Amino acid sequence: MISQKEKIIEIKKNHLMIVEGQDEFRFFNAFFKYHNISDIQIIDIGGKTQFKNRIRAVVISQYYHQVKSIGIVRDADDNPQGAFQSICHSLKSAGLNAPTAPMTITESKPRVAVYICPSQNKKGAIENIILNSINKLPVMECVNSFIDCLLNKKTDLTPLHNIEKAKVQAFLSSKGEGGIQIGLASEKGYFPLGDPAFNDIKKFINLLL
Amino acid sequence: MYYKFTIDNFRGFKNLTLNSLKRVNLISGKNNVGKTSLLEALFIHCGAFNPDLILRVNAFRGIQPKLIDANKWADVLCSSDFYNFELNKEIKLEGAFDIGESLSVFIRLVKKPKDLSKISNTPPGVMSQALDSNSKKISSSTQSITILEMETHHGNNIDISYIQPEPDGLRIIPPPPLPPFPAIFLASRVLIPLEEEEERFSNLKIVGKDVLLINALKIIEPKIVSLSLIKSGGISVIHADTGKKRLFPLPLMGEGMTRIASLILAIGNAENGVVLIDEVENGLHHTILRDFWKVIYKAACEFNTQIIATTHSRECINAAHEAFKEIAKNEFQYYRLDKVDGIIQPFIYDSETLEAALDINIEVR
Repeated sequence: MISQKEKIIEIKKNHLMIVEGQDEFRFFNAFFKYHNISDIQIIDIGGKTQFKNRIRAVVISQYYHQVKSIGIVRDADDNPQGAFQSICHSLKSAGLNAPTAPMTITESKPRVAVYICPSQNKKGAIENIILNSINKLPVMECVNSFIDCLLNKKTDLTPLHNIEKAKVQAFLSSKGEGGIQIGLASEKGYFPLGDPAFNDIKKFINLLL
Repeated sequence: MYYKFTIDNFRGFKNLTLNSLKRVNLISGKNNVGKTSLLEALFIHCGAFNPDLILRVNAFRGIQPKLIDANKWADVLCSSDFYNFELNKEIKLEGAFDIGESLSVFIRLVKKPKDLSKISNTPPGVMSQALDSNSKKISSSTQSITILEMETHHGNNIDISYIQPEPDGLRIIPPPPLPPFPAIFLASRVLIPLEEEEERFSNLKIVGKDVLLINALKIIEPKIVSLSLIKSGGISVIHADTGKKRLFPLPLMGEGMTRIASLILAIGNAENGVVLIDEVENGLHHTILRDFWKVIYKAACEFNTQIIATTHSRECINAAHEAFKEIAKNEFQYYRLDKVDGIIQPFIYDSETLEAALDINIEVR
């Protein structure tokens, strides 16, 4: 697959979803493909830093005037409320309206919505949702035992700072694909993208359309 | 130096304002969004009192009618200069300068007999130079006459001049005074006559500023030590001394050399004025563009010249951004022209936004 970074981005669709990295770009591309969603263009604006300037770069680019809705997807990390407020501040700086809460959309032109991942009240990232989607798979018993074992050893836990990411990576190791990122794993069909765990993402997408 | 320029009813522009103009300004946009027209509007505005420039910018585009019917000459020569061909509306070009002055130019067609009669008392004028010798025959079987009027407001002064068709060509009345500041237009496809280059080089050499040109050309040929005008076959051509046995004619050293020479010579001959460059990247390899912008800026500072250029090249935009980020971030401005709902609008990129756009690889042209 050609990554976004290898070509010049032109706005070609009326609905935009702005994500914060190549991994998220590839994950959502795979998600859209799985669900036959073709009306939304995903744009990777490359990380949280410089978000304000980068969103402005999108807003003044060619064909932007044809855009009807914009969705911003951002990881909650350790501060979901802070992530949302930070995005709203950047949106306003770029001349856009900001929604009053995540998972709501403005009535402006374009309409604007924000999705804090995994949810507006929960710390974490896309891996949390993925983990929910695979948790019922039999192989997860082994993954959970493995991670629990590591945690119980009470050794240096720095590599397990993010338990959810570690579990997803351990799951991917079971596919013979240790160390791959979730974007590529999604493209390869390793996650059940139709699982109800992804319902919030589907709701968010429906807001934009 | 311009810091604001507004166009009303000219070519494809219904209304357009460029704010925040800087020492060096780069304009991009897709085909047919008015990049060249914007430069032409500026060129006409720089001329201020000379309606001949309205015709001359058409000549830059190769519009050279061989026969002008006095009944139709306005249609042939300048109806397309009016937005939407609305000849009853006046063109307005307005510039505000960093020294606190402003200059407004109004261009309109005069058709009514009452208005035409006031022109009969003006001095005899001079013939237009915008048309070549074969283009000056005008049908005299005219029933009605249309005259182009240019009204210039400069401070408290108002000057009015006209172009009117006559059997032997187009007459400008009264003879236009010198413009308030020099302006040079470098069209994308029109070669500058060698005689003009010769004069510009001589003007630079005589004040010992040819070293600027030498240093600029060194970004392509580092061995150049000096430049001289050598007359051969009746024409003078700039030759470069690269330390070899013979001097080498600059035009034979590649398109990039002649392009850089033309630009530096234009800047050096537009002291305290403006140089307008269409498709600035023409002839230049992308690897030298960053250094190119640095030498352009150096020359522009040396002669207090403002640069307004167009480009289609992302590499050129990127190189300008990188160069000015390094040497003078606040002296460079980038604009993109775009049609929104059929109206041409400028989109201004501050340095941070341009950096972000280039970083994420989004289209900026």
